[in-house]
Amino acid sequence: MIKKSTSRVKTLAALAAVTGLAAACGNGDTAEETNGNGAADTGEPTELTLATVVDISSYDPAELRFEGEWPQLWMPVYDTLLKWETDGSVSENLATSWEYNEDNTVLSIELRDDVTFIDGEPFNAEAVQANIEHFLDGTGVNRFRANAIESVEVTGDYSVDIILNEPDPTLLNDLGSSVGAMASPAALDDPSIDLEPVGSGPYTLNSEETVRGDQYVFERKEDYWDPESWAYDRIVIRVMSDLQARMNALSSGQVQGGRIDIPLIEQAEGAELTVHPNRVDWFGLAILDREGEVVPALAELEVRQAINIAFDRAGMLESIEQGQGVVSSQIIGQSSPAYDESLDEYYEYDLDQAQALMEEAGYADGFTVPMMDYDRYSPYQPYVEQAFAELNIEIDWVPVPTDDGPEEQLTGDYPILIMGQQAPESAWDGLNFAYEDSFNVFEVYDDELTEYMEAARATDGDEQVEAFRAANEWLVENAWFSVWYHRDLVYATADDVEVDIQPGHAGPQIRNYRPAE
Amino acid sequence: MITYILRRAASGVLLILAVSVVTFLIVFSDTQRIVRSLVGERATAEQLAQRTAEMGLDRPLFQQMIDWFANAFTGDFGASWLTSEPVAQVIINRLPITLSLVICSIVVLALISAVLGTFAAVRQGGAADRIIQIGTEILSALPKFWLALMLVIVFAIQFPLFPATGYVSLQNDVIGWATAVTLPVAAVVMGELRVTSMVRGAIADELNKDYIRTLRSRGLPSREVLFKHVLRNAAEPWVSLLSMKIVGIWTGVVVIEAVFALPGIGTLATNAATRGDGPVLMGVVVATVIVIVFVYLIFDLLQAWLNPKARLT
Repeated sequence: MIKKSTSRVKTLAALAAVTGLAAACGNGDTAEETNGNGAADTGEPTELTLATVVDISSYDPAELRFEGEWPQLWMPVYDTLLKWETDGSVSENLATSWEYNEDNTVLSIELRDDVTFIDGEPFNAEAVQANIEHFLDGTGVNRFRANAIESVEVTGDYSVDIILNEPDPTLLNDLGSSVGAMASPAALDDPSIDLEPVGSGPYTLNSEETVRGDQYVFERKEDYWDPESWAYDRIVIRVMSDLQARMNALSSGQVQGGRIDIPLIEQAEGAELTVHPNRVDWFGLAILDREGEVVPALAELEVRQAINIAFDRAGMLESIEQGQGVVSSQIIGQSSPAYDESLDEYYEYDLDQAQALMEEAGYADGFTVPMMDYDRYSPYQPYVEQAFAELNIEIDWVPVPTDDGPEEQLTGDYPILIMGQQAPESAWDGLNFAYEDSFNVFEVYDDELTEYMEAARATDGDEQVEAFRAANEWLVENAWFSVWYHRDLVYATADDVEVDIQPGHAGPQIRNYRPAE
Repeated sequence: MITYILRRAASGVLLILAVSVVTFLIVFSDTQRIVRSLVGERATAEQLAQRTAEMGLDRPLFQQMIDWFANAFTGDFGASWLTSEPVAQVIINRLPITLSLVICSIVVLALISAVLGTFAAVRQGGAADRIIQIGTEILSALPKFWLALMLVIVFAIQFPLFPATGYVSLQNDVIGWATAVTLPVAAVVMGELRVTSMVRGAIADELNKDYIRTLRSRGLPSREVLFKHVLRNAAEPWVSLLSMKIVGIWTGVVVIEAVFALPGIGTLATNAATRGDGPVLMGVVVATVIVIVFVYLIFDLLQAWLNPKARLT
């Protein structure tokens, strides 16, 4: 955590940074004046006001999203079966205990028996069954996360079995997010649930004060079963897609937390905000044509390794991200159990060795590779061009319109992609990117990697972690990617709140906030 | 006069219809990307088809258009693909915010430009004239988002007199509303002050005309000449300028709404356009055209009142 500093000079520097002028006047001590968060020990109602980049599309549980800051908008009103902890594990919530059968294809869950939805319907096994079946019938962005679920069987008033068609290493994590979000069964088929959530969460949505697309207001529910986990009486989430507007709202004390960008860190510190870097994404190359279907040279391990050591990762991190992140060679992030610190610097920048490897592979004269000229990654293109030029690799840049980029990446026309991808807490999610995921565009399966991934799928605990780590190491050694670094996302908070950052997520969960002591 | 109003109103309705048809064809001719973004990159072809059908986008485009117009005539513009909210409700919620900005801006701009323009014209060639002309030109040359940022930094962060972001409804809190719109309106008006020079030019032209010399030679007081004759005759180009400016301000308010996080039509239009929210985009376009047609009608009537010859054109 980078601690704030108070400085009139820094405030002025922020002004100059925005204006391009080095002159202004004033003081920077306004944050305390307008923050609306009362002190808990005085008995006054406490309020937390946050800014989010995203907006919620629907309160239908099948449409909920768990990435980024989305959970801030729905977790106040929907309880989940399990809950995420900040160390990457999951713990009990509506589910009090859970257990897999021997081959990890049946998950038996025991449920709380003292929970009621806001429409008066009881939470029980039938509610879980109805919710998961509703999720399976839906077409939300996270529907794929329930692909392994075949059915849900009610085994008692407050116990269910989730039957899987194959082991799913991410299931427990998913039951702590949208797959496990529980709404009243009576409301699931009512279209009004799009706008009016009917959950059992710690808050209710204040519809009168909520303005979709602008702000969401949540009021604490008096009879919630776990009030201690939620520190505030009232939550206000303001939707601010504009970065400068978020920064202005944070600086003036209108909101107490929000995402900012790396270039604004100094300005945030000058405004007495606490800056929390959070390593969420990795950046680098996905070498997809691992068997050389389009570019034969990429089938050679030496060529892929040469590409890896041709990048000055530290220099790129410094010049592109102002040093906010960590140099790495792996797609797995620090919050994942598969993370291996020793792999971060597995590939060190060495042009001579890179050229030698190209020569060893018989490609000293290089080759040509088609790549997407795509504005999302345009800041990285010159670095790729420069590094590839050192290896005599010529890039045939193919212009791709912004809107077409996501689809175009999966066409198989591009043997190498520049990528910025989330490095999730879930090791399976992270590693599956190279396995069964749609980004294994050329459908390359290696026996050894398959062995590790299937072992991870079929096991749990230490055995599973060992398999994940073996798969991660294999991916790095075989250079299926050329990761440059893991970049920080930056979250800023006012000095009257404390927050635990949620690894792998752009925004912390609401339950992670509390008034500063 | 009634014939004149009916003629203008009819042309306005035709314009709304034409713009709606063209926009519909553009927006709804390619909806696969928005459907894909709603179901995610990992959705199967079946799930993609299921969502497409649920949204009614599997029907022929012409059929979709007929249905949209049939519903729109009853006030049903559909629901947002991104927030599930009824489009009519979204527009009703957001229109007052943008209208607050635009109307306040045009009123303040009209007053300031009239006062400063008149003052500068009366003192043609003097120091005050030059200061007003140069000052307003400089302010107009600065980007509006920069002006907005400066206002926020100085008047919301350094000296917290106004909120940095957000909007307060006029019905709920008049003072809150006034403080919320002050900085955005100031940013818009400062960026449009070039109007002052134009007003000044129009008044100066009148002041230099023969009939003014004649009136003065008859011994009419300067004040009477100015207020009774010059301003009345210079009002017509001033009204024309403002009518053009109101459209410019309406379209340019997108930037101001973003800087001040105001959930107005501009922000809505930007989000809908960048993310492909067809129903909202249609609603925004129709609402915008209606407002603009209405504004032009008002200004045309004002012109006709100021200059009866205009009714014939």
